[in-house]
Amino acid sequence: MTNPSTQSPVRTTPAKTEDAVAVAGLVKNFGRFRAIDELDLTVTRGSVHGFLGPNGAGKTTTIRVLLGLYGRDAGTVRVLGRDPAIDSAVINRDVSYVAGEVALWPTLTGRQALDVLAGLRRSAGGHYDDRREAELIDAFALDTGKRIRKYSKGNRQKVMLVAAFAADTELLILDEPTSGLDPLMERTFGECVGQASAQGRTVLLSSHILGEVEQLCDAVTIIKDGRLVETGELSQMRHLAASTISAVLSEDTADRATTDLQGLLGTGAEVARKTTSDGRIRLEASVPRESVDRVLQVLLTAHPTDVRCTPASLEDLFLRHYKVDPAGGRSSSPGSGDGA
Amino acid sequence: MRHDSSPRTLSVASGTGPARVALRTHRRRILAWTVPLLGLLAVVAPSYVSTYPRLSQRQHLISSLGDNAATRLLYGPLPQPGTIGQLVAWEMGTYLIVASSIMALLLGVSFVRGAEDSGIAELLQACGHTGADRLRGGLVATAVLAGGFGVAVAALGLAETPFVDELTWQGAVGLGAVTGVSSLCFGLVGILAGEIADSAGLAKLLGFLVLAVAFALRAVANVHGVVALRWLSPLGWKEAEAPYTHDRWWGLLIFLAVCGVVAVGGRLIGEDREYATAPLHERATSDERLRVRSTLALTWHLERRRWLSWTAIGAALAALFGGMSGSLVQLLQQDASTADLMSKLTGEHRLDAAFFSFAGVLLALLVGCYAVLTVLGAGVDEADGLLEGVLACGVARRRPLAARAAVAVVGSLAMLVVAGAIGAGVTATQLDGTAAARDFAYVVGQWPAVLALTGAGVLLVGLRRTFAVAAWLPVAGSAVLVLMGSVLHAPHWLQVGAVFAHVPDYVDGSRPGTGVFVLLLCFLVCLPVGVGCHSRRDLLPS
Repeated sequence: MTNPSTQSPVRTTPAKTEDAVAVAGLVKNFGRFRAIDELDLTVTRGSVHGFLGPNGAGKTTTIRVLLGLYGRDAGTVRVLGRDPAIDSAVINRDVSYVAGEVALWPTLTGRQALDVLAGLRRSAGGHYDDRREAELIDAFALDTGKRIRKYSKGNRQKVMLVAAFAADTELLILDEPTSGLDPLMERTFGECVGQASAQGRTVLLSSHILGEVEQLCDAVTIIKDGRLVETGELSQMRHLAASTISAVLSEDTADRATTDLQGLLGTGAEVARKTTSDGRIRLEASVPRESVDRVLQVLLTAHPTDVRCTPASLEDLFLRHYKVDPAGGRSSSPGSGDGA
Repeated sequence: MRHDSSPRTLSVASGTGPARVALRTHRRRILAWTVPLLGLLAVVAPSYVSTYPRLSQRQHLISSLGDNAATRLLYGPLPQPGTIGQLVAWEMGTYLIVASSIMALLLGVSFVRGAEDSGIAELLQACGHTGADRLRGGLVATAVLAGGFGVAVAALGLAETPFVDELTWQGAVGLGAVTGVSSLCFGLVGILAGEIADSAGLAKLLGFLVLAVAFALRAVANVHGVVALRWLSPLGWKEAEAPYTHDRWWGLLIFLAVCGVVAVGGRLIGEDREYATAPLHERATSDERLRVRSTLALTWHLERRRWLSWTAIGAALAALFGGMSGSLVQLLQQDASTADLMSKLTGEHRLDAAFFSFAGVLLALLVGCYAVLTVLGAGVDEADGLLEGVLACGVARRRPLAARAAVAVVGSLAMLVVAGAIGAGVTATQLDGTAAARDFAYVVGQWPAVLALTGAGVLLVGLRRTFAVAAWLPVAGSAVLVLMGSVLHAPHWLQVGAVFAHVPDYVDGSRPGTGVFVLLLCFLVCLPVGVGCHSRRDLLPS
């Protein structure tokens, strides 16, 4: 196995000012069920954009609208400057797509499936790099001689990833692309995304693997129940989000510090107390950015033996929105994948 | 120490859970096979009564068909004296045995190997069922399927016995039993093949090889009178048991013993087999490349095996009809009742034209089924998510369905031409060149009907994937109207609604009537509308 080559020609992206994906006020209904509700999504050219949301949030539905597989009930959608409801074929020439549930022709071998995907793309006027494909087959350690029906889910996923990265496209739309891959192949996938980004290609990555998104993405959009919850540059979102501050205090000072912190953060804030093995008390609280200095002052006056201030991780950002109200939980939309 | 409450002991009826899952999973396929067969069986005896109420009126039919090599090959010798029950068992009994054997074979494979290919077997094992339960479930499901179908056949015969003098309860039970036991045997062959082969496709191939050998043994037995061979072939068991003639019920014990041997063979091979393993492997690796440059080329590559197998069946049927043409035309000339029936069915007054028209309808029915299946493949691709992958390569939305329509249109024409040419070639040896030309014209002349069915299929798939199944309604409706319309006294306006009822005698100089243009118009309207709708609507994977 080798690493995917970094010597592929750098794609010369035409000077285009518009975003790779620009969605505004998107509404998609399936009968009476509203799968997407006034969704806005902007993916800037050349970025790697994470697309997150709990199961049934509407990610796959949104992706299918972007590919022109679904129509829309309201809103505007532009992918590479075009409307997928009108120009889906023209758009998809320049889009590589890996579906969450990979379906391939069971009677063909992996080699033949790749030939078909390359042939169809070329016949549609797109471009496909055979040399790059060979490198990717090697990098993903894919046995292309086997019939598809004998492939595991991970191997079917690899076929689609090879075809996606070997196609000379501007935009990659990847829906849970690593769900069947082993950790080694996940790393190879990460390298491929990095190379695509270095070539100026745009990546829209839908994933539940937060570490992967945190590592690969410049920006994220979080949706829930078909609505936008949060979007922006990852670094900025972290900066704006609450930090977690913890301190280890003696039993004598912990009570007073707890009272002071609750007074400072408000009665709704939770200050967690935990007794350590040596009988001391660990206090922990989620603190808004503007209150960090005052919280630290309170804790320092209590003479702590240990103080930690941790910025919000993507997991923190995300899990806030993952909490699902069982009573208000929605059923999946028709044809949705797990993340539809 | 033995634990009587262990899960293994608790699962005394451990096969019933997997069996219920198997039967429920395939319930639509089971109904699609059994309901039309039972429906056809229900109308056959009354039809014979209506056409040949007295034994004397059947003498020409019985002597002609009994002497003909082609009919002996297909149906076996016609038992004497030719009661209604004997005619039903001879003609319809053959269809029942062959069709139910194919059904049971396909389902037997699906119950075991198909369940492993699809992952259902894995799910069952994950729910606490053992590998042996999975096999036992397949055996129970096959027994229920075959037994249930046999009981239904017997029940229909018994229900008609009070109304048709020449039917007997012994014959009805015998026909039901022999149908059930034949399908049970092929269901078990399917299970055995599924245990031996590592894919459902290979298992079906093995099963059909057994079926072909059984058919060949029966054909040799029937044509050359080697009676002993009938006992060796499950397809010949009907002639051995002879319902409505000898009613040799004791023979059923022998047939059941053969089924028992096949079942034991399946258990011996399958009981200790690991999940998803098999002694016989299909060639799983290949370095072959596949250079396709269009969706049309891809569709043809994926569909070419279907075309070849359906064309082979069509060609064999055409050759059979050609072989029967000489004696059947002679029969029509001598037998006023049969000639009248054929004229009513086909609307033709020339006797040879009536026969070739009838043969053309049967072949067109086969080719129509091929065309509809091919077009409905677009819905299957959509459900499976394959269409999504094709469109994501930049292929225009209209192309995949248009490609399937093109394969159906050209494939059906090629199939009709091949079948027509082979039928005409054999007819030329039986009659003359004009008759051969007439045979060819009546077969190829059905192309507008197939086009109309193709158009209807495209329209329905285009409107919505879940509507696609309705494409079988015009096929089934037309088949019933054109084959049974006169016998069932359907009104004329309804009978002309059958797509297969519009082929003129081109050899006689007749020109295509309004019906042909209506069929072509239907195709020309439905095709673009269906493709247009398909390219605009949401594509919904299952």
